[in-house]
Amino acid sequence: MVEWTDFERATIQEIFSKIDSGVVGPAALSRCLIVYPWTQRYFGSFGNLYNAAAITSNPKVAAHGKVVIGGLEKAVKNMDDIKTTYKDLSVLHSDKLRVDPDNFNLLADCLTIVVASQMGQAFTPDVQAAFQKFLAVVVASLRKQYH
Amino acid sequence: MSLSGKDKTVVKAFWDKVSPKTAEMGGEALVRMLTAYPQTKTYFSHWSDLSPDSAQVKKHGATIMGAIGDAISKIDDLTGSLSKLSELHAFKLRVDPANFRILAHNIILVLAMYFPNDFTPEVHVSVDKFLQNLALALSEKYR
Repeated sequence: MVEWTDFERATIQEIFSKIDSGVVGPAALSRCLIVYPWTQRYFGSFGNLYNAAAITSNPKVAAHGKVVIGGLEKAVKNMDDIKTTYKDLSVLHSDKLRVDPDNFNLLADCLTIVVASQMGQAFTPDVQAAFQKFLAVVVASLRKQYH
Repeated sequence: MSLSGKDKTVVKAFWDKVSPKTAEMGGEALVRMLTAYPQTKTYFSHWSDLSPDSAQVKKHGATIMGAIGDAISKIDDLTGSLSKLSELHAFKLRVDPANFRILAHNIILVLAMYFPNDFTPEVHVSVDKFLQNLALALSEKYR
């Protein structure tokens, strides 16, 4: 069981209530596809990913970015048992999507960077630590069902 | 993933733009590394104050960013120009090179925080590549 301090709980809830999921999700996913181009291997059906401009304006990327944030919001609502909440998602990523789990860290880093640039100075070192701990738990839960 | 001509141009132009803030951003990045990745504190046990307000930490962050700026001016020969620093990190400091990636992440985060409109994905990828090459040059003398 993950132990969350009051500060961490409050911080995660606050971040997700403050950020615009329609902006952060697409921005994080497109940044990941641009900065770590090998991640594009999982998005063959998304059409034009030839350059940064194409990726940033690709509607399928944007839509999927929102899906990812939706998934994170589920974890925010179930912070005391993300592992169980994500069981099916983990099986999906392992057996159907066959995503190398190391990629989860790349997307997590991009999410952190986008949230930081959105929140500015409000994204203090302690807030950063809480957010990164949350994402680490999310990533570990997504890895759990890989076999 | 070596640096293309475009990467070098992008990194130089971006660094020129942000140079007035680099000392402050360096302190900020180091504070965040020590806070969000507490295992990195093990390398700084000789400092009395590792809190976010620490003058020692902020000063050292500025030193690191200064060295990075210097490396950018010698971007065509990172291995050569970082030779002495590599020896320092390899033989004296003995920092596990995995930590270079951690610091790089925090530097990138701070750049995005301070310059959200300029730190576009295209700038991000060139800076990420540069810091990766920098880390490689810094690890050159390890073994």
